[in-house]
Amino acid sequence: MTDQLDQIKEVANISTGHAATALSTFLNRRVTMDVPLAFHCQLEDLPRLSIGKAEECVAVYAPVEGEAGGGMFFITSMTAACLFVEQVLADPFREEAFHKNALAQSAFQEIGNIVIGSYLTAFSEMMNVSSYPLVTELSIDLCGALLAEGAFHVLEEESFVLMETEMQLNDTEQAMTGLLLFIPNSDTVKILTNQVPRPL
Amino acid sequence: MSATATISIGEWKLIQSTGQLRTCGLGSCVGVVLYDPLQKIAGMVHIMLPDSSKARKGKVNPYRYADTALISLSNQLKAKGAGLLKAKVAGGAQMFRYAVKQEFMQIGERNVEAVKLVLKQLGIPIISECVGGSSGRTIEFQLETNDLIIRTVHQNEIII
Repeated sequence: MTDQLDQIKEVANISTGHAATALSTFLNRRVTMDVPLAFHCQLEDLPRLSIGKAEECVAVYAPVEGEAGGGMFFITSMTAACLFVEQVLADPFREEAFHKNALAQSAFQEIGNIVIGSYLTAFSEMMNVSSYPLVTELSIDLCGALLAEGAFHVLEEESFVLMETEMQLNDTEQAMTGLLLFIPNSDTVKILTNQVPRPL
Repeated sequence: MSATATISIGEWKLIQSTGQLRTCGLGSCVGVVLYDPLQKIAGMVHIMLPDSSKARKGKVNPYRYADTALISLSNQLKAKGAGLLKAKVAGGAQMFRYAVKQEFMQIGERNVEAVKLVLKQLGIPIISECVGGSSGRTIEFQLETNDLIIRTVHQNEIII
């Protein structure tokens, strides 16, 4: 069981690496990432994730289809979302404005698109399966509600595997953290645990 | 300040004589409070899906599904001495409007419908409700006043 999770973790590691590189290129900033986590999780656990403590979050959610499907989130606190948007729009930005600012929301969604898209491209090439995001959607709301919402669209069993990586932009004044979550459906978990390429 | 009991998805708790019941992050999930104002006893459950007969594979948590959760909760309350129960209901929002698979569309609405149907079958009247919309809710029930306080990130708090 632990071996299988280690395999999944390695896949997440390489995929997130690609996503971080894409984000770095897009923002022209250095992006660092943590070692990814992969663990069995129940819906009941989602509000207890670290990001769950932030009351208000901004999430880009993509349903994932193809031979390996599931759901994918790029999620940050409202404060971090505004900082990310500032990087793109190169304009100071107030948190209260985010709700009403379509340009800011669109900029953040684009960051989500890039991160999610590059993660899945790397993932599907490495695993040699098709896996692609459908049209993403942005939502600003309570973190726990957002996560639960995305999770149970892919949930087929009581417990599921969650692949989680934190990415940071460090050379700004305030550290900006974005959480990348991939919730593979149960068929995808089977693919992940049986077909991980082995070192030659 | 008396104790606050907090529950997560698919969980439930009872309080007696004093205290608060709280659950955070209700999206399309529905939070239901069943209470007996005379006996000063209340229970809250955070329901995720409408129907346990369509439960997915594996061990089933009865408190996830409207039908089984409400029957279990009302039995627990009765066992603790509750008489005539009343209900307050909140949740059932639609958070992602487009990017969901067809079969799950309007899950919030279906949850609310299921909760109302089961409460009707159990003969428990709904005193007040705050359902639908597109915002997540955090709710808190105060046993002293029987108030259900509802908070969302975009709007002011309301009491039902």
